[in-house]
Amino acid sequence: MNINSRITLAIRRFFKKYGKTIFIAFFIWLIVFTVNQYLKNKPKESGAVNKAYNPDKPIMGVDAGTVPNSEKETIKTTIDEFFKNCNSGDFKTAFNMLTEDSKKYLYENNVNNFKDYYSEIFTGGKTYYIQNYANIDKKYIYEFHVLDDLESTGGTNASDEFKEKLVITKIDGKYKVSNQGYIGNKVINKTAEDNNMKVIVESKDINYEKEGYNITITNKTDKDIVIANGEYDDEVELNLGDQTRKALNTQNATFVVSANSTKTFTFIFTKFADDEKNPTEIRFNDVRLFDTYKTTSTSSSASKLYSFNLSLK
Amino acid sequence: MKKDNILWIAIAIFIILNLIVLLKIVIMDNKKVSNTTSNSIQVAETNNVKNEVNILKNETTVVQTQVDNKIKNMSEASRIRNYCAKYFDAIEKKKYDTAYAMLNENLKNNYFKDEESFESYVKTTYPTGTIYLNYNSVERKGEIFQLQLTINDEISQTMIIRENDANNFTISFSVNQ
Repeated sequence: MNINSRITLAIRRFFKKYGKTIFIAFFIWLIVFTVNQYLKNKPKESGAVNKAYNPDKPIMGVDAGTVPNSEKETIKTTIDEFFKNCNSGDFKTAFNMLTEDSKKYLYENNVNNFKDYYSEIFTGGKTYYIQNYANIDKKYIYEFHVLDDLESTGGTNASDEFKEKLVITKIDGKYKVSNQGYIGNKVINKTAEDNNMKVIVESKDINYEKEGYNITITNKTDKDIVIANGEYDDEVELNLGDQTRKALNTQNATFVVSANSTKTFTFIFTKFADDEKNPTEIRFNDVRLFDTYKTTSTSSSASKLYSFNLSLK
Repeated sequence: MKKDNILWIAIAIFIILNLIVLLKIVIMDNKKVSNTTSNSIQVAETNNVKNEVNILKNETTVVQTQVDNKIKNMSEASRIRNYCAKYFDAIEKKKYDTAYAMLNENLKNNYFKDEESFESYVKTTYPTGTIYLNYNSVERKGEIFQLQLTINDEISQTMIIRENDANNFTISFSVNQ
């Protein structure tokens, strides 16, 4: 038997023995390959485009609370209505959408003050967009951006974009608006007293970024009492437990209570509404008593200099 | 006929069907490649450093949904730049009707009542020949995007783009008056 015949015989034997197995393996591979190719080429249904803009997702992250799904549309409708009223110049209706606290503390219950605040911003033909910022105790804080109708103008001669925080709160089953980031007023009513004065922390006005403490001071002496005049940079502080914050409004103003009189001041501190810090006390670090206070008076001429702490607990 | 033979015939038919499907897929792939025309527009991105980038755009494929899906898979900023590039590509190729169709209706009403006025504006405003775009910023403003760009290092332009869906957008731009 020559070599060719032997090879042919060997191949025949091989296929006789393994032919079925090879055929089945090829058959399975063919099916897998075909299905794979089909799936690869099948047009994908990837749904809508992925947009990053989600007005209800808080910028400050999920720790800042979320807007309940059931409330999203109602809140948006409320903001839309507020915007439309302002944009059409119907400030009276927009003013009536405010919370009572906002009307009182931001605008002294006067619609004209509200109109003055917005009339420079809503000059006609504006658009807006919103972005949820944080949510605290069912108070939903949105960034409210008012801008020119850029799509209609292409940004030609565009004016600056206006931005502020709107706080949306449900009161008596209806959503109310508060602008300028104002959240509301909280009664504190804490009293502290010494031989020279009686101090009552009446309330605080809470803004998203700051708190204003309304404090009434009664001078029991026949001297002038200076709480702050900018001579020191830490004359009034808010103690938050792990840190203190200096008052923002004492550097360029004088807080003096004349002899035997009573006066109410507001001291403003940086304090974020969602920082989870609880103020423990207000410190008057440089209380000064003068026989007669003049704007040129300094601590060296004071008859007494001491510190006074007001507990807020 | 033996049962065994019937089984083998069935397997053979199945294999032939598989081969037909495979052949169809291969033909489709080839067709797709030959129909894909890429038009490049040179776009330079400026983040202090100017990089010239060729953007492959206007992929015309036999299946439009595949183009849309490609766009859907792009990042948001890339999609917006892609739309902007499409607009300037149309201008570069003097396809004024295509560019005009991309414009926001209110912008048309305010500045370009008809295609002729738009064409006239484009011819007097934009350079002829290759258009290079320097993207200085892309800023999202709610549902719309504001792009600040420079065209051929000469013309500053604000572009406003609204994306309704993949490859479905409208464009506005600051009009030099």
